[in-house]
Amino acid sequence: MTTGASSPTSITIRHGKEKSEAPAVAAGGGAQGGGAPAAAGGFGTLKGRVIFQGAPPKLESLTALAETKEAICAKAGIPNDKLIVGEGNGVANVFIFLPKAPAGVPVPPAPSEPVNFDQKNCRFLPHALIIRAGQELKILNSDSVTHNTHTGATRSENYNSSIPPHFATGIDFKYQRSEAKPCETKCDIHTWMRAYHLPLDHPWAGLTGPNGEYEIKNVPAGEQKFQVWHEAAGGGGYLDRNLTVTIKPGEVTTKDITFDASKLEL
Amino acid sequence: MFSGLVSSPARLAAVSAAKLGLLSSLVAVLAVSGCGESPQPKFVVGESTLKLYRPAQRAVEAELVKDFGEPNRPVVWQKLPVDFGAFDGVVEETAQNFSDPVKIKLTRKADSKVPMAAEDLRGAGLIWTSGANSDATAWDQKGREVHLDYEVERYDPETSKLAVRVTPAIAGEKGKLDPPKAGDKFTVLGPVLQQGHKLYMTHCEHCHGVSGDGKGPTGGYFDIKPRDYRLGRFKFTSTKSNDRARRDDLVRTIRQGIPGTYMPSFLLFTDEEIGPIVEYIRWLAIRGEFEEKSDAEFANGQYTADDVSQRQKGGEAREAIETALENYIKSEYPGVADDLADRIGGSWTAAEQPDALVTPKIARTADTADSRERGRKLFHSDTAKCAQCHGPAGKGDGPQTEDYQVILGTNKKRTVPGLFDDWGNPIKPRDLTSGIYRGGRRPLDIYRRIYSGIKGTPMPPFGTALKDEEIWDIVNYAMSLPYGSGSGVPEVNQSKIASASPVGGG
Repeated sequence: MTTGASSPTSITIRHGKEKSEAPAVAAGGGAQGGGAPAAAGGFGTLKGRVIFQGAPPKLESLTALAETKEAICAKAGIPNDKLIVGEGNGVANVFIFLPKAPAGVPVPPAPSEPVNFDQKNCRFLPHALIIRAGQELKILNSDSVTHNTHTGATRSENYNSSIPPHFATGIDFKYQRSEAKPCETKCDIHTWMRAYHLPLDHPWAGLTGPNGEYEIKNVPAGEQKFQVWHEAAGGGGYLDRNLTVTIKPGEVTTKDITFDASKLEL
Repeated sequence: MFSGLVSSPARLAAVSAAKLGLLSSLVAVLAVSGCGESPQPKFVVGESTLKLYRPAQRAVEAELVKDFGEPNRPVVWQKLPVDFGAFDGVVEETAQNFSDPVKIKLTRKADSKVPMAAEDLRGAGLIWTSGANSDATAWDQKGREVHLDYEVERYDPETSKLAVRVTPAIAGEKGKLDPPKAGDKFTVLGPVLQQGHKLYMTHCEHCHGVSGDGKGPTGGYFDIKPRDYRLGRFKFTSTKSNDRARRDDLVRTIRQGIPGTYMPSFLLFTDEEIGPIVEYIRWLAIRGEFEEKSDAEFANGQYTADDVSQRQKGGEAREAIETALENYIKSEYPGVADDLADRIGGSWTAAEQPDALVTPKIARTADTADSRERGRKLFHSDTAKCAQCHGPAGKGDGPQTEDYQVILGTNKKRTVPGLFDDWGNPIKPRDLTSGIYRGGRRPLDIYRRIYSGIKGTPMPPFGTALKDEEIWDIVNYAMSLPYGSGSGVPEVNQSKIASASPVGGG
């Protein structure tokens, strides 16, 4: 008896152009649904700080965590970038972004200059970055060891390439599409190396600096709903999925974001 | 065996029941109920689809049925770069009735990629490209226009007689359809897929499963898991690191098998058998990728079940979310699905192009003691870092096999040390002293493993970091390891003898 003695098959034909009359993707009419109405005109700035409440947990350096010391490639201890808390308990590497461009607002084109992404002392630098879909990411290597940069996007094709030692020319890579949240990039040779890239199809996003400050310029005026994401947060990384802010034309709106240890998943 | 005919959940139940020692009673039940019609094989819903909010999940499932059908009723989606099997035909005599067998002449389409035997066309799709039937419409009893689908009812290659069946049957009543006339032209589509399906279900499904998810009834018992095609990723290819597999790669793997694994060698397949099997596997892989990427689109719109519950907690009304989702499914998803098929299809087409192929720029360096020594140095160098995984003596026991890795996308460490592949299975770096090479034992095969890495595994691609002559030196060294290189490589893994100080150039 054969395993799959299936009954006779019969073929259905689906023609290539069947769906061409489907409406083109309407700008801003997309999966998010409730995009904010068109900015009545004007743009404002959103800025603020992300602050950790209470004493932040101290993370052991990756050098200390490695089971086999041989796996560590840098003589200098490798700090754990999972949670960086700076002055005044400001949290670095928090992404604050609109999940999609507000309806009716023209989206400026992606910048033509590349974003640099380096590897030094077996760390990705920067650890977190925002990039536009279609914008060049220049992958460099300042180390004397080979690294391989292996992206983990969900919508774009995954990319995996080794980057030779002391490689200043850089390899150019582009995310073809935006992502809903930052995606993880790894190095298979040095498995603790991680970075977070957020490719977007609009410019309205900010990333906190070492002391937790962020600033997003030229945000379309009106009520906007931002998402706040950090790699150490539980529940898929969201600190807030619905940070509602009213942006006034020509003005600076300040919005501080606080969270405590209960949000963390370390 | 009954297993191939049972849909997957039932099969999983059978496996766990077997573990409880209940198999005999289960077989008894099946024996009693097993005389009727066999259950139809079904495609399994993917894990990432199951994570979507229900209406989104249903939309993806419906799209998959529309674009790919079911195992026994596959859809020829013409935009995919799959050679479904296409023949041009012309009618050589005029029939009395539509369904009468008529003498025809068949020619395989010139751009066919896959060899196949032309005998069995039963069930293949048929499109009239000229003559009275080419509008593919008829009037039903209520006077409404209906679209007609044609298929091959039977074809006898000895007499060249073909009979055509039409659906819906309502239009098939006598006198309503024009009989084929001499000179009418048509295209027959899909026999490669059908033959591939039949052979796949007989020879491959045991391990790789109806859906190509690697979860066939036998697959679960192996410590090395059968390939799950649905990521579109195959390990042993001749293409560059970011390219898909070529047809030739899959043909080679099926012919040669994968030494050191449960994948047997199928050398007895003829070209006309292996071609359709490979095409069917490519089609399953494209289907799996299409499903996963569709799910990613819905996840991007924050429509996983988890997203929707979080969004509601964040103050959004369920009705609003559902209305927006409904709009997206109706007005945008069809275009998105088309675009996905084009992009995934484009990647498979690109892999067949000459520039996807990894071809060394220089011939293999002579396998001398010098070359092996250079290879040995590179093996331990910071540029190639081979020893990190393959160990100082190439035994596959490098320090990385003892480290606990962080699970991707989480902050948690694994509870088991060592390396894992993209399918989440534990994986060991090759023991290079064994002389067993899974992706082929030619020096060119080893060259390609180093140049492109092994897709879906932590073996990185070194094509951009190493020069051709360096790769060849490593090939020469690695291939000398099974015979003892005499190069003074320590037999003991030094990393196991606690060396606490970090090594390597920073």
